[in-house]
Amino acid sequence: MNGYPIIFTFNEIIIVKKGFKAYVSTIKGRGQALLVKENGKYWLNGVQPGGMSDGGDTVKEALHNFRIAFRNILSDIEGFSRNYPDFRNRAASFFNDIDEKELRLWEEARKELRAGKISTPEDISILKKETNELNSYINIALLAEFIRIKSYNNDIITAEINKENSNSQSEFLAAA
Amino acid sequence: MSSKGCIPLNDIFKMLDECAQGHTRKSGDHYWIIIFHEKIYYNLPKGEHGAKNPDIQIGHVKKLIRRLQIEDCAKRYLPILSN
Repeated sequence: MNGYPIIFTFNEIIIVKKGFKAYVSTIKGRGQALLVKENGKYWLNGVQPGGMSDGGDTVKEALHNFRIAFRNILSDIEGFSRNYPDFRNRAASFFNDIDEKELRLWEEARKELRAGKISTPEDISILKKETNELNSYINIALLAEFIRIKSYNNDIITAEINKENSNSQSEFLAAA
Repeated sequence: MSSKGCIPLNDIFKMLDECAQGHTRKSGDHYWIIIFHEKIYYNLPKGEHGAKNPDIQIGHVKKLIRRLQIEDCAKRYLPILSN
C-alpha cells in the first residue's frame, strides 16, 4: 500500500506588495497529494504541486498543516518576486511542478481503491469521496491593484486590504 | 541531540552539501527553498523564530531527497532515512 489519493481545492488571496503598488490576487484551483503513514505520523506528499509536503499526528492535523504550508509557500514566493507578473509565473511554476513518481503512486492507489484491494481507513472517512476524474489546475487572477499610500508610520491601504487574508479556503477530498 | 523522527537542520544542510553539490538554498519568510538541477523543494521548515538548528521532521527530508533525486547518497549520509 503506497498511500491514499487525496484531491484538494484551494481559494487563496495573496497580496503582492512591490514598491508603491499592491496587487490583490486570487489563486484558485485543484491539486493532488498522497497521504501516507510512516513513523507513526500522517504525511501528505504533494503530487501537484510536487515540491511540498507536510504532516501531523492525525489525518486532520496533516491536512491542516498541508493547507497552511501551501499558503505560506505562496507567501514566500510573493517575497521572492520582482513584480506581479513575476509572482504569477513563479506561483504557476510551483503549482505545475508535478512529482511524476508520486503521481504514479497516486494513480496506483486509486486503482487499488476502485478494485477493492484496499479500503479507505476510518480516519480518512471524514473526507467527502470524489469518484470523478478531475484534472488539477490553477487559476491566478488579479482582483485589484492599489497604490500604497503611507502615513507617517502606517501603510493605510494595505492595512485595509489585509483583512481579506481571512478569506483563505480549502477543501480536501478522498479520491475514490 | 535530535528528537525522535527528526533530523537537525544543520545535518540536512551538510547532507545537501555532500549529495547535492551546487544546490541553491533560499531563505523565505517561512521556509527554506532548496533547488538542485531544476528540482525544487519549497517548504523545508526554518523552525521557531530564532532557532539556530531546529529539528526537522523526517517526512520533510524524505520528500526532499526524493524530489532532488539524491536518495542513495542521502541514505548513506543519514542512515535514519532508510527506516
